[in-house]
Parts: sequence; C-alpha cells; structure tokens
Amino acid sequence: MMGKMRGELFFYKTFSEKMILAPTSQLIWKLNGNLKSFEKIDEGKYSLLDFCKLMEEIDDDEAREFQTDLAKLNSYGFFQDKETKVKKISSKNFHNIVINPTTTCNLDCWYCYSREFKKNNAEELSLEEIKKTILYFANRKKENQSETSLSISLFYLSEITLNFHIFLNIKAYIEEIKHNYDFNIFLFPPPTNLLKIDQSFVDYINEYGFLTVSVDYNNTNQIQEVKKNIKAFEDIVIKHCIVPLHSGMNNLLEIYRSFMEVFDFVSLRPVRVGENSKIPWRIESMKTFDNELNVLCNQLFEMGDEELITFLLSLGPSDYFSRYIQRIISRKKSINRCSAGIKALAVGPDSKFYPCSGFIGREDFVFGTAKTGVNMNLISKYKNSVTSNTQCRDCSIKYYCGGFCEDWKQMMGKKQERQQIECSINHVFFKNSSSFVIKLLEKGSYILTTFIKEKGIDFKLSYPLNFDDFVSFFSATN
Amino acid sequence: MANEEQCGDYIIYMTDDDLWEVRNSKTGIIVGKFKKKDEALEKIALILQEDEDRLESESVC
Repeated sequence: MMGKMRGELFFYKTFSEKMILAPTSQLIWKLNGNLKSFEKIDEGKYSLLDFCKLMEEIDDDEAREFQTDLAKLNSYGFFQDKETKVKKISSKNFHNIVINPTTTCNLDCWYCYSREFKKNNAEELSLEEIKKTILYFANRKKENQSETSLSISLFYLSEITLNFHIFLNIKAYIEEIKHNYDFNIFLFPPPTNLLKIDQSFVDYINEYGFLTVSVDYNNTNQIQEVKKNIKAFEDIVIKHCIVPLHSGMNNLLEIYRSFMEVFDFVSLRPVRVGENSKIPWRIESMKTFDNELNVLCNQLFEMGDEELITFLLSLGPSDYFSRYIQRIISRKKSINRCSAGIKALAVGPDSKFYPCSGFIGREDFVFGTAKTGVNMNLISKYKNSVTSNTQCRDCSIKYYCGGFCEDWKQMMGKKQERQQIECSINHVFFKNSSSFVIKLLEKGSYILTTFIKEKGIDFKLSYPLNFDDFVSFFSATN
Repeated sequence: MANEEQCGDYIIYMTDDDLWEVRNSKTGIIVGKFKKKDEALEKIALILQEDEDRLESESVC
C-alpha cells in the first residue's frame, strides 16, 4: 500500500492541537486522539512515504490507523501535488500608481520607506512633473485599449497633511483630464500620521468618507495627538488605523482595543525592517510572537459571541490576523505576494519608476523614468510569484502568503536565515489562524457565518475538519 | 433519502434506479450520477480539491 502513495503533507502543532495541511488543495484537518506518540514528530513538510515511515517507527494503534487513513485519502487524490494552472498576467498596463513627489514629513519613523533614500537624495517632483507622470500612465492605458480604472495615490514617502495643497491641485487636474479617457481615474489619499490637521484636509476627508491613519505604537506623543485630532472628523467618516506590528509588542488584544476605541477598523501588520533596525525581527523572537498570538486567540474565545463578532469585524483590510483567517476560510490560492511590478508601480521623487514605494532609491530596481517610460524588458525580469521564487517552491503555506515581499527580502540581505524571518512570521499567523478557525467552528457556526457574510468571502471549508470524520466519509463502502 | 451520507456541502445517496447521486445541499444542484459509490466519492474528492475559483493572482501587500 505504501509504495503507491505519492504526495505530501504539512504536519504542524499549535498550542492545543496537532493539525495537517494538504499544501496544494489547502485542506486542513485537526487530528483526533491523544496522539502522545506524535509529540516526537517534528513539525514540517513530509512526503507521504516519509510520514508513513515515521508512523511505522512509532508503531502504536493510533499511528497504524493514521497510516491507513492517509493511504485511503491518497487513493482519492488527496495530498497529491496537482499542477496549478497559472494564467500569465500581462504587465502591459499598470492600474495602481503611487507617486511620491517628496519625502517631507513631520515624523522620522524608524521603519519608514524613505529613511535610506533621504540620506542621499534631495530631489522632489514638481507639480508639472506629477501631472506629466499621470498623463503618461493614462495615455499608456489608452493606447493599450485598457478599460480598467487607473488608481493614483500620492505621498507614501511623506505626510499628506503637509502637502495637501498639491493633493488638491492634482485632484483638480484629474477632474480636468478624465473626460479624455474611457476608463475612470481615481485619486486616493494615503495614510496620514494625523499629527497636524487643517480645515481643508478635514473638509476633504469628511466629504471623501474614509480616513487611514498610520500610527507608530512606540510614539506615545503621536498616539495622543491622533486620539485628539481624530475627533475633528465626522462620525460618518470610516476611520482605519494601521499599526506596524513589531517584535517588541505584547498584549495584542489591549493594543487592538486601545485603537478600536476611536477607529472603526484597526490593522496590525508586521513591520518590514532589516536586522539593523531599531526593533528588528529575529528568529529567536518568533516563539514569543507565537505565544502572543496564541494568547490573543484564547482571550478572544473568552468573549461573548457579539463582542467577538464586533472585534473580528473591526479588524482592518491590512490586518494580518484577519487576512490569514480569511485566506484559511476561503482557501484562496495566492500566486503573487502583491501586484508590485505587475499591475502597480511607484514613482520616486527622483522621477524613476520602481515596483513599489519600498524600493525607491535602489538603482537595480529602476524600471524606467517619466522621460523614458516603462522599460518592459526590466519588468519582465522582475519575479515576485511563488512559482518563480526557488525558496518558495517547497513551502507548505506558499499559497497563503503568495511568496516573499521582495522589498523586505532585499532589506534582509542575502543570508537565507535572515530571509527566513518573513516566512516564520507567516507560519506563526497561519498556525494560529487555522487553529482559531477550527475552534471558532467548534464553538458554533454563528460567529463564522456572520463574519463570512459581512466580509463577503467564500466559505471553502465545507467538509469535516475533524480528520477522523473526514476519513470515515471516504471509507464508507457499500 | 434514508441512505444519504454527507461531507460538508455534498450529499451522496442511492436513487431508485440504483445510481449513486451527488448533490450540493446548498444549491440543490445534482453534481453527477454514478454506477459505483466509489466513483461518487471520487467526484466529491475532486470538487474539494479544485482550485479554479480559488486562484488569486493579485493580492494586496
């Protein structure tokens, strides 16, 4: 029986469960029984044959039964690595353009994209250059007969409230030119640090209806100012707070709660910093981080149903915990980490094009300039998908994260151990979120059903998540 | 059906004409009819592993 088995599984342990994942189909199961002998097995990806050999070595009733169960499911194709048919995405048109005319800011956050660039560059884009850049990308789409909208963002390397007159000017310019195109052109305000606000910004946001604030959790002065200034906006404005999550943060529930007091949505997302940063991520800190997420999950289960639903629905679009919960539920297969260099480009104050704002100032990632246009030859060499990245090929959770953040990878340098940090963070999120989803379903379907409905996601875990029950269905003969 | 078995959204049962029918309990759509139960189970296994509607080529950062 073992000889016919092919495929692989990811065996992993959360604080309370032992689980397996079929990496290609993204089906997850909780294992049953006391599984004491399974303690000896290291977490990781195994070929079915190797895993069955481990079962043979253990040689107790549970291990023997598990071996038979795996063989049964494998006979129906489970765990087999089926080829993913990936459609090639054309990079001919760019739909999302982030233009960074300046690095002017009233903060100097330790994780800011612009820190390195600012050291050696003082260039700024003039208003005319910004307009020319917008015109270039709009005309390019028009020439290629693209029908999808063009989204323009400004000031990811600087503070919008200090440059708001430019934003308004560009807004007026887009209104002026958009009748020349068959597609829509949108202008999005970037996150603000909300340290200083003026009435024109408040009026604009009150009309626009959405405000995103980025907060450095270590900057108590900023937090105080944000909590004061946020009151200037009308209740109807949807308020979203992004807090870069770093290795020194603990009591995540308290952090979420403190921001949920004044924001409708809160997103905690891992800060992308190198090892020389003020608060770097380290492999050694992963255990603590894993524990923090586990504590959060346990605290959430102590909440009443309505409180828990409110909490989950208040997690913002950039929140990693929420993102992983949604990806586990929907089994969305992410082929690319993001759309940088595929559908999105960033323009630096040096008027050069880069895959995203994080790359600005790195000469080996210049994909053209406003004068010369996009260099398609260079773009075609830029790879950021799970299929192109050799380190991702053997990863069990690659379809959940979509591969490396290329910007972060560059920051981490070439040592594989350092690059492993992003993977470790993703594994911590995957493990805790999958365990959380399973427990949520065991608690009853009401919370998850409400979450799925409100978030508009597909529920793709419609099968027994209990491994024994799943096997039992496929073992029934007649 | 008295002899029906369920795996998540999918139910299999034997029809009066001795065929194993697979039905999506949510949509009511009959996915297929099979001579052998094993073939019906194979169909469900295939559906569970399909990824066409799960592919996401443009993720957010």
